[in-house]
Amino acid sequence: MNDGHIKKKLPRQDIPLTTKVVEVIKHNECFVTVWLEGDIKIKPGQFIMVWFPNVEEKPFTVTCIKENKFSFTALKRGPFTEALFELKVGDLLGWRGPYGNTFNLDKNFKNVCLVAGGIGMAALSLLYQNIKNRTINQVNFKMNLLYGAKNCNGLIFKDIIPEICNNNTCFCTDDGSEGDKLFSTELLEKYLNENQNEEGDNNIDVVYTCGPEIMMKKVVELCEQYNVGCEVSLERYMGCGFGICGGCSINHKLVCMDGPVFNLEELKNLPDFGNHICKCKEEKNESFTKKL
Amino acid sequence: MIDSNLFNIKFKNPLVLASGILGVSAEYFKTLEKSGVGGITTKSISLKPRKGHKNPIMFCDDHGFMNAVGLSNAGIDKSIEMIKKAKQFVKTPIIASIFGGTVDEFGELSKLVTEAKPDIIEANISCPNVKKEFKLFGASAEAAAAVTKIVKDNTNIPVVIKLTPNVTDIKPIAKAVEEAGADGITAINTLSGMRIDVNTKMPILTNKFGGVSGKGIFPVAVKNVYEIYKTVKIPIIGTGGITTGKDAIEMLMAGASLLGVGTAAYYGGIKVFTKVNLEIEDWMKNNGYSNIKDLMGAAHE
Ligand SMILES: Cc1cc2nc3c(=O)[nH]c(=O)nc-3n(C[C@H](O)[C@H](O)[C@H](O)COP(=O)(O)OP(=O)(O)OC[C@H]3O[C@@H](n4cnc5c(N)ncnc54)[C@H](O)[C@@H]3O)c2cc1C
Ligand SMILES: Cc1cc2nc3c(=O)[nH]c(=O)nc-3n(C[C@H](O)[C@H](O)[C@H](O)COP(=O)(O)O)c2cc1C
Ligand code: FES
Repeated sequence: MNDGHIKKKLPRQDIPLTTKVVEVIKHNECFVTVWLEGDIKIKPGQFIMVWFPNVEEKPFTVTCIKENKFSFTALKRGPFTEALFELKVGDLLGWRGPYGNTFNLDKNFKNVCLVAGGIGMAALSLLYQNIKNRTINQVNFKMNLLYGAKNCNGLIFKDIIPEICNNNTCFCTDDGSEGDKLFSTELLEKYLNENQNEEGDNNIDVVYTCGPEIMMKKVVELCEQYNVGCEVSLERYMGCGFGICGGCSINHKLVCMDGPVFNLEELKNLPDFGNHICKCKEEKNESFTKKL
Repeated sequence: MIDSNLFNIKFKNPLVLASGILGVSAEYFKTLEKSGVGGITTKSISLKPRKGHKNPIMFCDDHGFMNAVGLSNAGIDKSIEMIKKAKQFVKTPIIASIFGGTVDEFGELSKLVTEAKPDIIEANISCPNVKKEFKLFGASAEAAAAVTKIVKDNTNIPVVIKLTPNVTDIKPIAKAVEEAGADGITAINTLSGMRIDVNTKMPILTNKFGGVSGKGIFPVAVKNVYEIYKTVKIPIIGTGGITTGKDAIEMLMAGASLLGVGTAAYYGGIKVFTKVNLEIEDWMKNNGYSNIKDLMGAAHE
């Protein structure tokens, strides 16, 4: 742990802490959720580095926290995420963190919208649950979730956080196998239109988004067009997570320290935002790219 | 008051970002300059691009920071572009760190990197984390001298040689480097170390062994710089564990002309540079010093 000159908001573990795998849920051949034993203090937006001994160490978002256990959910992309499918209860994984900044949830917000694309929902999962718990008694608080995936197999967070299945969530898939046959950005555009009053003002306070970078780019453009605040969670290759290796740089910023959450103002100064092509298996979808 | 000078190059303060910490992206150099660094050392550059070791490549516990990055870098061609670009972005002096697998490779790198016009070339002959692939030139006086000579022969830019503390006696190596024509010495690189996770009984770093840096190695660095100062006349970039203004003063007194600072950016973020500079100035004011030069080697008087 470090006793830095800067005050850390949460105690941080900077050497991998190995702990037992208590449950492995293979949702389908692409997605897996791993539950680890132990307590963790982490805020929505932040991430941890997960160490798989003999395999590698990679950044992940914590998706659910329960008493003495917590989970992360992964999309199969390469060696690390493939290895997660082989895990058995009792195996040991290490983790360190939490790292990065958090989504900014202003106390005065009354109407927030979450836009998720595929595994991007992982980064919005704790945020959704936190907002839900915090606003449970606020009748006039509105939270909408627009959740899209390539096909119905991609909407796995319906199983992971069943409470998202309600009237305020819209599902969509590229192939129409579940929900509307639309992209989540098209849902957002519709939604922004509906929430506009005659003067052209919008009563949505903020849009939080995570998904393929090309999708988030479009979300940002829409938010600018409709004059709505927006926060995106970016993904870059991470070697350390704490601002030393430089591997996660985007222009003059570091995603692990200055991000992973960036707002509209910050994104204006990051011309490389949107140019990051993710080569992962699920998101390599040319029609998606063309249509945007 | 704290503006420094080495080889007639002006540094607005003595704090040089050490090699391997954040010096990989040209645009990020702008952020570093704003954070108050006096100079910036690039990540060590090899002829061909290197992926480096797989994660985990670094971590930190209460007493020391460990890394085994494995000298990942974009290779000389891309790095030359990066340095040229960085020079458009910042006025801060840039030190290009190079490392090769053979003496001849060091020569070629020296010649090539000169094209990018860095202010100083630093030859890294001291990385403890790639022993399987590379000879540790810094471990022998002859090898260190051979590298020094070829790097000097291939450039007109000042050359500093970065030494390792993982030797029985650093003095003869420092002497050999000076005699071979080095303009200066950077000391120290990281100390060789290892940590094992007791639950899995596995070494934590993918490379098993790594380099220890940060606060814990400060006494080792001070001693090495002190001994090198006694042995040679060429200036020293004193590096290793500096995290506060008081550390900086102490390292100057041991004999450093400039100060390399790396892991401190982990403890305090990059704003640590501004903080350390202010602390140096405060200490000097309180102790009646107006020129940082008067502190250099003060412990030897
Ligand atoms: C802050 C943060 C939080 C994350 N949270 C999650 C999460 O909750 N769930 C999840 O499934 N994933 C998450 N990721 C991504 C996850 O770290 C990568 O999917 C993982 O590293 C892939 O490892 P691998 O060995 O399986 O695949 P690799 O072999 O590393 O990658 C397979 C393919 O994906 C590409 N790729 C890998 N990593 C990245 C990247 N960071 N950016 C762009 N392309 C990449 C590679 O180019 C390669 O073609 C997160 C990433 C970050 C930075
Ligand atoms: C993450 C990391 C990477 C490093 N990479 C290099 C490198 O590429 N070349 C080099 O000469 N030294 C490298 N070093 C060593 C540092 O430049 C420095 O000599 C050492 O860390 C001691 O200084 P410090 O305690 O201020 O970090 C690295 C150190 C760290 C922590
Ligand atoms: S991951 Fe190493 S600096 Fe961001």
